[in-house]
Amino acid sequence: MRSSSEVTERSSEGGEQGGAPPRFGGEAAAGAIMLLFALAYLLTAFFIPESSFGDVAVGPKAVPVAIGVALGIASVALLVRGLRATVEPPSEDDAPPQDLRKLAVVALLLLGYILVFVPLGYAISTTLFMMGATTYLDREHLLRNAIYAVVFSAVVYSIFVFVFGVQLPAGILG
Amino acid sequence: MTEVFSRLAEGFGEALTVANLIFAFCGVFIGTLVGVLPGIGPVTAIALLIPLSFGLEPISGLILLSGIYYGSMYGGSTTSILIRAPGEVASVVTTLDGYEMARQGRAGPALSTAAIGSFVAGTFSTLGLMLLAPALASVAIAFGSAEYFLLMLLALTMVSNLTTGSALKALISTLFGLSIAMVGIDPQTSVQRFTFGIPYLSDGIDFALIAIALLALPEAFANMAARPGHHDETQRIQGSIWMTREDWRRSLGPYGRGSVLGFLIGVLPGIGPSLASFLSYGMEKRLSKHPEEFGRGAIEGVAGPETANNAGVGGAMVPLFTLGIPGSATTALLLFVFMMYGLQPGPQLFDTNPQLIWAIIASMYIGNVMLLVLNLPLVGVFAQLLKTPPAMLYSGVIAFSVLGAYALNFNTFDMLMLFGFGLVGYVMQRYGFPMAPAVLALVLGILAEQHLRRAMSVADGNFLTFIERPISLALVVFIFLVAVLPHIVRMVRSRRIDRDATTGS
Repeated sequence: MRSSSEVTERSSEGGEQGGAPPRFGGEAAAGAIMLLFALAYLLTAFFIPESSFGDVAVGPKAVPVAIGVALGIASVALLVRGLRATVEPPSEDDAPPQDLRKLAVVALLLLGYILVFVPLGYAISTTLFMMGATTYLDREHLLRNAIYAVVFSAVVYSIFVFVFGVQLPAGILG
Repeated sequence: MTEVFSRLAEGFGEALTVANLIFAFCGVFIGTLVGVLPGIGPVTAIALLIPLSFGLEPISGLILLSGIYYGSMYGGSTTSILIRAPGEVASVVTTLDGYEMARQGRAGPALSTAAIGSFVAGTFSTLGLMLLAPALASVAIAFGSAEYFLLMLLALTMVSNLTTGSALKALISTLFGLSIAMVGIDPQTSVQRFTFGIPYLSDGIDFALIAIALLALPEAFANMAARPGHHDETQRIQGSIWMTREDWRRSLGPYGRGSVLGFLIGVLPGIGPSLASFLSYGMEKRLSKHPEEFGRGAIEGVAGPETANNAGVGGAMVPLFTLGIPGSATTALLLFVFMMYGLQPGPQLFDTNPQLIWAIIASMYIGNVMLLVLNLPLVGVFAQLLKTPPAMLYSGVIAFSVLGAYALNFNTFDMLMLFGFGLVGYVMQRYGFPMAPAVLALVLGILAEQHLRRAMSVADGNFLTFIERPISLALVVFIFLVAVLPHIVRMVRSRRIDRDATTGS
């Protein structure tokens, strides 16, 4: 039952953490995933070559291995705690339930945005992404979304390029 | 003492130039905005603006970014009070009584007491920073690598232990951050670590990139993918925003106590302003003559925590300036910015670059006045921001994140890493892992490792070096007391409860 009180505490952090209760199978799954990561990390760490200088007290390998071991132990502890908990911690209402299809679409839009960022240039790719994302989530305000997308990318581009002198890709406009 | 004031006068001379006044104003203004907007905190805002500050003078850049940090603490209370959605973790407790006051038609006094408390705390803690930092810096000159390593270890264990959720998950998050920190060429031996032959990885993964990916993107994803759900009613600001004489009388005590408590907690590594506000709430409730009013609109429950979280900011600057050790994710980012400008915070900075430090301190006094003037009359305007449709707000956050990642090194690889770590951060958040410890660990990881190895080679590989020097021995004992002992006590106690339960049934 200890874990349920911890989840309640966690949810009170709301803002920054998203107050996320376990959703994809709880602590056991979280522990299992982190354990896999720890093992892969540890395996890679063992292949770090020892220093060619020879006489260093602590080589380049020691700390990564220690981190991997500690992460492994902590993950096992989480896995065990999740398996031993008979009752799934109650989910909290203030973390918005997720629509995985929306998540997938937003993530794909983002990936597409990143891939065309340099070829198309900042202004066009950003306008397209903003149009796409806002319109997918809110189909009723087409005109508002379009104006917002154009104004946003134009203003941000101008501030970066003309005020701060950061070069952004001009793409096909350049 | 006279030296402090002559230095401060020079600092004001620097901070009062037109350009730096504008940067301070932009900083506190952006800070207030990000404080008000839910899901975008100071860490995110600073991470996103790092590429912008490349081109600025170090003094201007740091004045701007520090302004965002303390400014965001002001804004966080607005949403807590008006829609019961804290803009900042540090403002979570403010929802308890703040929203209740707003429901009773007392949103004005609640917002006022938060703003005035913030001002008192901001000024007090800057004063504390100014007096404590030079003293601590002169002590810290004597610190060696062993002490630095232990201080960083202390910060890492504190952040794992004292976040408000599951300690085990915070620990895993810390270790995850440490594991990412190891990527890149080892600076001591030039050995490649976790680079998999990818040249982009040999300099390590950019800290700002990971901070944006782990903090901004998951928040944006979670909000954009949210199913439409229940929202708390937005409370209007009605009647006078001014506090009554009774409100003042009840707020003064929390202002004083919150300032001191928040500052002291801020100084300790690994604990940010959020814990300060929680502790202040608890303390006010315990000291109050009418504790039953807490949760039903007690003004002390707003004044105390809001004062404490602002005082925490000044406190958190102390270890950053004097030791170069950040105690929280936000100060970790500020440390990154110092290093980006080629400056190494630490005791030497007070000798080599005093005008910079004192200009920042002076700008904090000025910025706090600006915040008070900005916030009291304009709080209603800021509250309007809450009506921004989430789709527009969060697609803007994503676009800024991509821009921030691109502007670090101008390549697509960084943007793809942003994408990957953004998804990792999202999944970790859904499982309830806090992300701030990972971000802090990312900055401290590589520094701590270097200090550990330097200390060990000075001592010829003898681990006893950590307990042979008096300061390091004290630190070892302190780490044991705050980080290890509580766990042992808890384990023993839960064993006993388990045993009682089995014998009982």
